[in-house]
Amino acid sequence: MTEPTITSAESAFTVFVTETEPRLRHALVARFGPDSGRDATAEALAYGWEHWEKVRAMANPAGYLFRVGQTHARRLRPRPLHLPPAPESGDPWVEPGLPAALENLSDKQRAVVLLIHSYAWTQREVAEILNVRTTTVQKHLERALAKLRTALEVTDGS
Amino acid sequence: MAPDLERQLAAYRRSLDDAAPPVSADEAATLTASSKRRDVRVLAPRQGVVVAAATALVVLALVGSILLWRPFEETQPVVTVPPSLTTIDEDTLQGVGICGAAAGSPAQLQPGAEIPAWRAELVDGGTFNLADHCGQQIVVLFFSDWCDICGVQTFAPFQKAYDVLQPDTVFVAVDTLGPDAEAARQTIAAGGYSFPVVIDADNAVADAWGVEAVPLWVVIDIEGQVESVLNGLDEGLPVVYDLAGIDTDTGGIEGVESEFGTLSTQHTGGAVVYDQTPPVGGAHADQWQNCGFYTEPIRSENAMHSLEHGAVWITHGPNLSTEELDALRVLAESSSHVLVSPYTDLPERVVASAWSRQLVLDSALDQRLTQFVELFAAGPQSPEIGATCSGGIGTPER
Repeated sequence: MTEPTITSAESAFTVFVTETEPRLRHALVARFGPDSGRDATAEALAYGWEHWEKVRAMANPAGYLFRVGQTHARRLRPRPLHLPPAPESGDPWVEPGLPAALENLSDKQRAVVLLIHSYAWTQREVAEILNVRTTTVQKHLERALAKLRTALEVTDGS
Repeated sequence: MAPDLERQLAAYRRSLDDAAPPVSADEAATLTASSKRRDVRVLAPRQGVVVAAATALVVLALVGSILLWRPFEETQPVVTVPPSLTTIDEDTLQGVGICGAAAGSPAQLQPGAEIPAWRAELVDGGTFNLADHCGQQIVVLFFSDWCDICGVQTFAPFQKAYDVLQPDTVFVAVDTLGPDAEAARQTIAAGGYSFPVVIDADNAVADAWGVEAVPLWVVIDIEGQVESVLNGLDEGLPVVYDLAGIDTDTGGIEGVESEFGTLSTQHTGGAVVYDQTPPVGGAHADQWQNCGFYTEPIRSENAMHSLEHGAVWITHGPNLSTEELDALRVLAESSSHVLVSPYTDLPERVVASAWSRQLVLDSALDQRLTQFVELFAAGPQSPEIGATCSGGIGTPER
């Protein structure tokens, strides 16, 4: 049996995917829901592989590929968000109404609140990938949390 | 008592991760190889091998790849561009519409909406101010220079509509979502396009209008309200041709046939019996024929794949004059999407075919042939608008 050969480009791309994929997927899932978001992630990474020489030289490839994925997701016929149900057990306990309440937020509000509180991004990181000012992220976040609190009838920070 | 909202959201991450598991490098590369829309050369990693080997090769790969890897695309010449080409007037974006009416910001980009005016510098100097054009119909094209089907493929029809309708209708193309002014300039200069282009360097225009995907066309009526919003080539191109007054069935070219019913887009390994001679579409081979000038007949099964990608295939019999053959060479060089070849036992002297379009001619010097190529090469009839006609099989004369 002959030893399979692996080109260095392939290995470098694999390393790149390991490093970049989680952030890209989180951003696209937060924005488009898990189904479209994951598809868009795969499409964006496929684009990255096709244009590897160009993408690898970029200062912010994740931001670029986010736009590629976003364009892909937007081009699909609008699909329902299909946010998954809350975990049934575990600590802390999650309100079963949380997914529905998240679906009622605006797209940007939901993206911001999921990225910051579910995926633990900083406001600055969110501002960079969504291409808005940090103050805008702050505004979306405040409105999103206020709406969720009203919907779930939880009290502030307690 | 319910735990606080932030902690619930953090716990919800598990559900999100389960619903959207990671995408591996293999999956991405396999998608590249299988995706029908993507007609690029692909080096797909071998299944299973790459992931296992990658861990050991992390360091070696990063170093080695710099030495060994060759790009698919040739390096473009560098054009020097001033560092800042765009300034967006912040005040203009704050609540003032194109015709002075109050406009919400960011806009809901939908028919009937008042959208904010903006002002930006043109790539070739000067300022474009949308508010100057209140009272005129305005067509705005949002594109990205980094992607063919959301960029350069939109330019030819946009230019056609611009040629027909300006100066009554105002046209402007906005390079956005991560634009590169150098790349945009090169593409525009190479294609000889003359419509105004602005670079949306910080995405301020896209943000102000809520544009998140390209290509996107926005038509604005004489009162400064959105008339229509068109997403993607499939929605946008028919409308742009319509604006230009171009009939995409026949292009108004006498003798063009366009009634061929439904044509299969299936791939097949075998020989196909086509209903037309030469065929105008139908089931075809996996690989398309590279566009260009051929001196020997080519397989119709490959040519049909090229037609699917928007090629015009000019076929001819054995008795063409040198002058006619030279004219066909010129046509083959005039577009990335023209195939020229002899056709065995062709009952006519010259036949031009595009997907579901055909024109029979007595001479290769007939002006209608040029018109046919201008409209249908990478034209609106293509089932896969924007796909390439190179990177397939066959070596044309040049």
